[in-house]
Amino acid sequence: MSSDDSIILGIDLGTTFSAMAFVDRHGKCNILPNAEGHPTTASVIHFYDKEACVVGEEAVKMVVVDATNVVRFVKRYMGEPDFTLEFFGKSYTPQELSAIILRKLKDDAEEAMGRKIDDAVITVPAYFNAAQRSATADAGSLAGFNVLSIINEPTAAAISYGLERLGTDRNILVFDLGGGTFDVTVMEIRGTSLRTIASDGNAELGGKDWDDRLLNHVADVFQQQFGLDPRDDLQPYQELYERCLHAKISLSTKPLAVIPVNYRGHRAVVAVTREEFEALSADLLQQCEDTCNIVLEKARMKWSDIDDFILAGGSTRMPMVHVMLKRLSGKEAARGVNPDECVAVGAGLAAVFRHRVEHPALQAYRLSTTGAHPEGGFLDPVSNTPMSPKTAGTPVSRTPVGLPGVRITDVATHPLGIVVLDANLKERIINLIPEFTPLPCDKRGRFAYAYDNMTAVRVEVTEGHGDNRDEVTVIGDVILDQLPPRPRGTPIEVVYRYTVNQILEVDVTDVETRQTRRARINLRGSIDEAQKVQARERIRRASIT
Amino acid sequence: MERRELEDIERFFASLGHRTPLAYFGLPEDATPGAIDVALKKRRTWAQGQQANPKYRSEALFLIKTNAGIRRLLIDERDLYDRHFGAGNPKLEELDALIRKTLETGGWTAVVEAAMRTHGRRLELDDSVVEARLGSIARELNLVRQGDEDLGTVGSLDIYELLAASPDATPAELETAYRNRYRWARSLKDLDRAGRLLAALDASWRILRDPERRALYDARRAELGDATEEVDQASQRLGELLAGAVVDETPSPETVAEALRQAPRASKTAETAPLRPEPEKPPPAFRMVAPTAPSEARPPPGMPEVTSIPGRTIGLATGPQMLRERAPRLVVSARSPVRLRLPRSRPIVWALKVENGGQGRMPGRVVSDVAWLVPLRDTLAPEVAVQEIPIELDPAKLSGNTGLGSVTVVTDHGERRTVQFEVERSTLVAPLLGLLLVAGIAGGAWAGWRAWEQAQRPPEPAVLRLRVDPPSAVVSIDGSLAASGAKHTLTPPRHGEPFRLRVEREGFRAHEEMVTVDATSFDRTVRLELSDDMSWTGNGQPLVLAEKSFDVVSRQKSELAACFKGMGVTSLPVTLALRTAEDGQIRGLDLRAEGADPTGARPCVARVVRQLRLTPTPGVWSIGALSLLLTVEP
Repeated sequence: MSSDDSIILGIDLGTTFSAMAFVDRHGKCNILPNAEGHPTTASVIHFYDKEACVVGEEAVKMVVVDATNVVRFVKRYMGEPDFTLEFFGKSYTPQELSAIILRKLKDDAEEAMGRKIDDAVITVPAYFNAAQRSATADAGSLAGFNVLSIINEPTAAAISYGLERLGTDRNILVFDLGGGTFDVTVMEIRGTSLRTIASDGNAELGGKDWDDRLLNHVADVFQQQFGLDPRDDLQPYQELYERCLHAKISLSTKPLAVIPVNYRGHRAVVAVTREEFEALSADLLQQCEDTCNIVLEKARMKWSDIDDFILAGGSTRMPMVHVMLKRLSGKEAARGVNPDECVAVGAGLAAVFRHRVEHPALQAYRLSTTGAHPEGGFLDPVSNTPMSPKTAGTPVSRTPVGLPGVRITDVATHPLGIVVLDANLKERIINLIPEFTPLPCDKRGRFAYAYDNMTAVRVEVTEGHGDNRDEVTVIGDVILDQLPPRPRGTPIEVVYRYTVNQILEVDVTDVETRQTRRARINLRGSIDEAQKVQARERIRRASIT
Repeated sequence: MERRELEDIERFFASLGHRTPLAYFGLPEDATPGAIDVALKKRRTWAQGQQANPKYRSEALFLIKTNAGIRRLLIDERDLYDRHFGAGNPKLEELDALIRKTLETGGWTAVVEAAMRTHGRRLELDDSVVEARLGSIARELNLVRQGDEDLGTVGSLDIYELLAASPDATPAELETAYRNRYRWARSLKDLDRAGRLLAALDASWRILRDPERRALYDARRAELGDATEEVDQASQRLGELLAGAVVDETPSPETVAEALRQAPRASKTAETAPLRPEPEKPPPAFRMVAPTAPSEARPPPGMPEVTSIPGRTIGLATGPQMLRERAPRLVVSARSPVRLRLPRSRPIVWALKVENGGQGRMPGRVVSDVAWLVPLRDTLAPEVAVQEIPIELDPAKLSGNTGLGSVTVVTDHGERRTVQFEVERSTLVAPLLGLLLVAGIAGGAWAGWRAWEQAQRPPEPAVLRLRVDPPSAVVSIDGSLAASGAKHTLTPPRHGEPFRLRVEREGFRAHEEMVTVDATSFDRTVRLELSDDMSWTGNGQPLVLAEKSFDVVSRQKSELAACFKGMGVTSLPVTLALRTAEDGQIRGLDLRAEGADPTGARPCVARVVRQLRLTPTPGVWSIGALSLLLTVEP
């Protein structure tokens, strides 16, 4: 851990927009605007030369001009193996592209603060799987950050909202509909601790899908009129996409939007009313509703058990989302949450709670509250338990100042299992870490040789629900070899250790010889150390503005 | 290039309506590598720009992800390409000609499809190849597969299969099934597949949640089911007819038309033997491979074969039953403490009996905590089931006339048992008498004081010492759980007041009685009887034997034990082995004691009490109540 006054950036690395925030000495978490002065930075990169690119609004402007050299929605490809994009003869993995965005944020933050910033906490959608999480962490390290932890976006949003409401017991639901990902999470605040109860989502559903519905509609109308499809050509498509995107945004405030289409000398003006738009995207909203119900079911709660719900992500500005949630819950969304910024702010706060326990603002709070309690006792602000009255006698102010400590409990959002053979030597999956196990956790299972005289065992780590290999994802493996050959039934112990930083370690032990292999599993699709060093150097060298 | 990758590429281009990848890139089949390279690069750039375009998204993503594979196929592995996609492959040309003619004559129906597959197999072409070419030629001819348009998105999928639900599931069950599948589909890593699945699931759910539409679908499904059967038979007939015609040449359209006309009636014609034996199914896709094929040659006993297969996955089995089969278990029969009287100075040797109650090797150590107790062998013989460890007790090393010490057996698998020794050395009579006198006086005084104290104080809470046979039962007092295990010291509610004692264990009849404890302590032994409805389970599943039943078990443990004794079996656990023939038929039932000579096993037929039904699957089944192990040998 670095020195106490260094800054940890909380970064919301979004599909369409990214933002960053940090906690100042006084305990306030501020959004750090980028070099252009905007609180959020578009997650868009335009390559204008070999290893030279521009990130943000400027890149967005280039989409219609030079679409093949612009990359957006990188987050949707995170953790995908074999996915690379080529610009000026150089190929880039999704990790590297995200790293470019992160380096732009890092440079801007260092410029604004006038000092070096190394530590960061990066958010990911709660429903991201292990590969996507590890890819995000890799992106951070490629950008030159020391990534202290990866936290879930809804958790971050809930922190920024819940900070004002500590001490009261409430259940909150975070509805996070971003540009490309969707998450619903139920959390509870109990005293000063914040715990995730259940979570579900879709890493492939976001505002982009609403844009596409509008785009398809407009293109269909145009096609009917002229028999030509503007989606077929790159530049008209990009132009139309931009227009649809803006029309979608205006439909949140106006009842009608007009989208002009120019293609091959033909011109059409398509008017779309809010009702039409809502009809076009009704099934997307239905998916959101289903997800909400699934999450509540998983949390064993009803809508009436939810005290507040928070909206995060720009797409929650669409009136249809509010209407749906009001219909379901009978409540209005919580006020005072900026859907674009709350995740970054929460990440900044989480960074301090987790990694900077000696932060001056936390100390100030402790000092201001460890005085005479109304009942005459002393309470520890972190655990809410009585303390020894060692600070009695020191002058104490009655109004707390600074930042109260919050204990954050994240959970494993996907079950983690192991591939085994059953008594009939048929393959099946056994879950070692069930869904929503609070982190960190440590689960062990006893298994055995399936055949006589095996000399090695391979533990295949799976992620997801299901009984057989096709239904789950094998995310990596650990091999314990050079074992003495023994008959079937020889016991083997497997321990899964999942840390708060969302890193899974696996121990495989031969019970009889006590031979153990411990490994951080090699996630499929992740890049190895040598590549990482190379990529880091490349990102460092690249000209990014 | 892997077969799967090749098939993916083929399917992709076929789905876009191009018979070969080169046709997709707008190139002639004899394009030069240079031209291919340029076309590939151009298309990749296009894909990069269109990857977010909803219309081209999946196409663009596929091109980006498999770019390297396509390049390898088109440029580096050109001969593979040619073999697979046509140029210079007479079999493919023949198939194409046949497909084209058949489609032109008969349209695109399930019957045609099946016939083409049969023909493809004759040409040693894979079904997927036939389907891809059928699809692309049909698209060229602007044909739609009959029946497709009716079912819409769901296509020919069986919705119930898709939802993993039974066709007579209730709406609530269907909804649960839908939700589960939906959740699962969304968690898939293969996004294209997930997308297709989600769309299909959505469409299915829309049909199934509406009772009317569901009824319609069910009717249609029943029809389809019949049709499939007919198609199967018809295609077989068609294949036969075609086969006769195409031994040397492509069949004429007339032959094909004739075949098609006959095909639907084929089901009524006499049964025909398949043309060739069904292509053998590939071995099940075991990714876990035994070092030696388990069903075939096992290494002869005593000659362990050391095999390691690099790059292959190696099996890791689950389950307590596997462990139970193998795990050693330490049993030390000596009752602690061992009270011994030693001679004055001569050492004696005492044998500590150590048993391996489980199976497998049991390496371990024997240690003592005092100098006068010396294990003469300090390691366990790992292979031996029952062994005696000689322990020397040397009175000369005792510091006084009495001694307390212990010997502990520790196994490498983590079990330990300690045996306490209390010894007394023979001494002269006088000191012994003196000692007795002192002890007597002290004892008397203590008893007197104790009696006085008893009188002064209200009675102490009563203590019930309970021993349960068999162990691991649940004990409750007045309905609330009090303890579980074999031996208990319980505190009943009130001294002298009756309370209800209940002891239960799965598979045994619960024991219940009213007990009054009026002394300060009270010993009781409860012996449970086997219950008649004891469930026989192995690995959590009921044991079911197809149409076979055995009368094995006696009512009470003691009776069963007597039965065993009559057969010369004295120790538990006992292994009941079902001898099964290769066809799964049960040939006999063996009963043998652990560690006994297996040849001494004799069939056990006890009194008829209950029928035990077993599935003849190999494995080890445990009958928990008696800790019998039932081994079904393949």
